[in-house]
Amino acid sequence: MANTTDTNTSTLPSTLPSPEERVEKLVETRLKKTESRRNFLKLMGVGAGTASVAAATGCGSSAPTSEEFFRQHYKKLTDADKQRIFKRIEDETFARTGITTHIADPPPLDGVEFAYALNLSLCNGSRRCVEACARENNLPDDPEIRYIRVMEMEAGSLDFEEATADYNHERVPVKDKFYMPVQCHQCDNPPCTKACPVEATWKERDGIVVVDYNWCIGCRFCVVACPYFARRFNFTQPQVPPHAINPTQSYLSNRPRFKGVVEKCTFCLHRTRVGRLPACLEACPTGARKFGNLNDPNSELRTIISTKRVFVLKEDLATLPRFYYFFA
Amino acid sequence: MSGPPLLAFPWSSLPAHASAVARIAPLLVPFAIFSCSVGDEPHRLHTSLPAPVASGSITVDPRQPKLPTFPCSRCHAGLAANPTERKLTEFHTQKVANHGTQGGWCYRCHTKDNIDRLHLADGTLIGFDEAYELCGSCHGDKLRDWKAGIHGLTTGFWLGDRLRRSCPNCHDPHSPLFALMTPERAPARLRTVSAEVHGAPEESNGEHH
Repeated sequence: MANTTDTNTSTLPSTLPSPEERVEKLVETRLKKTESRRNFLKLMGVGAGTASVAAATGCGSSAPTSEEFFRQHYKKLTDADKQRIFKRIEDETFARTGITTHIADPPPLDGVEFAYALNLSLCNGSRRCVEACARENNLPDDPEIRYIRVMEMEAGSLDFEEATADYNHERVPVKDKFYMPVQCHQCDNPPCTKACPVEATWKERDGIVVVDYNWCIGCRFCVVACPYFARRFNFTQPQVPPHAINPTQSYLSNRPRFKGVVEKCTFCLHRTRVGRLPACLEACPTGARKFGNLNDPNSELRTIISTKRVFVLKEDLATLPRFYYFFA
Repeated sequence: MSGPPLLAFPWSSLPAHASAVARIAPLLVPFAIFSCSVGDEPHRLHTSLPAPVASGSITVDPRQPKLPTFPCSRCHAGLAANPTERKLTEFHTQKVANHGTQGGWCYRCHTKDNIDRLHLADGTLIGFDEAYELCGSCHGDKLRDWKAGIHGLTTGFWLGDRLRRSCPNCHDPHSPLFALMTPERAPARLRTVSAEVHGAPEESNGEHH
C-alpha cells in the first residue's frame, strides 16, 4: 500500500484506447514502476487475466495479495479466516496511515429486526446527520461520498421533482420548506440485492442490507436498481485523512473501501449490533431520528409505528422499507 | 391504525415471509396508497425469537448543573420579588422573553418565595431538573411523546442505558422556538452541477417564522 500513485486515476483521454492498447499500456506502466514490479510479476504467474481484473477492480493502488485475490465469499469464511483477514486489513491500514484500527464482525442479534423512524416535523435540514455519518463510517471527501441526502421539499407536497438536495442557505429551516433526509431504507424486499450478479450484497437476519466489498465487482447494477438512490460507488480510490479515521470498524460496514466498489448505509451496524444507537441519530440536533427493534413491542419505534401516522417512501414499489417517516 | 391482517387473502396459503408479502403487495396498493402502518402485529417480522430485553435505564439529562448562576438564591436571597413586567437592564439582560402570549413574567414559572424552584400551576414546587413537568402542563402532547421517547433527543444505547434530553436542554425556555442553524455544506457533486446549471449558489431567503 506504500505505492499510492495510481495511473488509473489520471484524467481520461477523450477517445478511449482499444482493449489491446490498454493492456499494453498497463503492462508498460506496471513494469516501469519499480515498487510494483514484483507484485506485477507475481501476478503474471497467476495469469494476465488476473492483472487486468486487479486493475479494473482496483483493489487498492497496489496489486492484491494472492490470499486477498483467492478469498472466499464472506458467508463462506470461517472464524479463523476472518481473524486473518481482519488482521491483514488492520496492518494495511496501519502501514498506510499510521492509525491503529480494530475490525470486528458483530453478528446479527437474535430476536432483533431493526427499523428507523424519522420525524419530518422536527428535521430542520442542518445536515448534522450527514456529516456525523461521514465521520463514523470513514466516508471520503474525495470522491465525496455521503450516505444521507437531505431533500428540501415544498411545504405541503411530497414531490421529489420539486425537491433539491443541494440547497445552500445561510440559515435553515427556510420558510415554507420541509426537509426529508433519505438514506438506505434497508428494504425487506430489496431490489438492489436481486440486481447483484455475484451475490456481493444481501439482507442479513436483522434486516440490514450489507455489501461484501471484496466480492463486489463494481458493475453498479445495484446502484440503478435502488429506487431511493441510496448506494454509492467509489469511482476513484477513496481518500480519508488519517486524523479523520474512525478506528472502531467492522467488516461489513465502515472498514476501508477501495476504488471500484459499492457501499451504502448499514444503520451503523458496528454500533447498533452491540446495542448502541446510530451516529446520525445521536448527531441530530432536533431529535427527529428514532431507531429500535421492530420485534420489541415496548420499543419507542413500535410506539411510533402504532400511534403515529407513519409512511414509507415509494410504497407502491413493494420494497417494504424499514425506514418510516412521520409528522409529530 | 391497524387495518385488516394483510395476509388474510383467500389465496394466501403462501408462507408468511417477505417474498409472499411482496408478491401480493402490489394488490394492496389501492387500499393503502399513502399511509402504512405496521400496527400491533407487524406483518414483516421474520424472527420468531423473543426480543432481547432492553435492560438499561433512562436517565434524564440533569439541568441544574448546567445553570451558570444556580443557586439563584445566592443573589436573590436579599432581594424583594418585583412582579412588575419591565425591561431588565442590570441582570439577566440576555433573557428574551419570547414565549407564548404576552403578559408572562418571571413568576409565571419561577417561584416568588423560593427562587431556586419552579412551580406548577397548582403551586407544586419542582426543581429545575423536572422542568419537563412544567413545560408539559401547557404542552401536554409533547410531554406525552417525550415520555414515550418519541419527542426529543435520546442518545446512548437502544439496548441499554439511555440519556434523554429534557426540554430546556434543547429549547431555551425563555425563547423556546428552535434557533435557525447554518447547515453543513451541500453535496459536492450536486453543488457543482447546481453551479453549472443554475449559476451562482442560491441566495438565502433569510427569514423564517
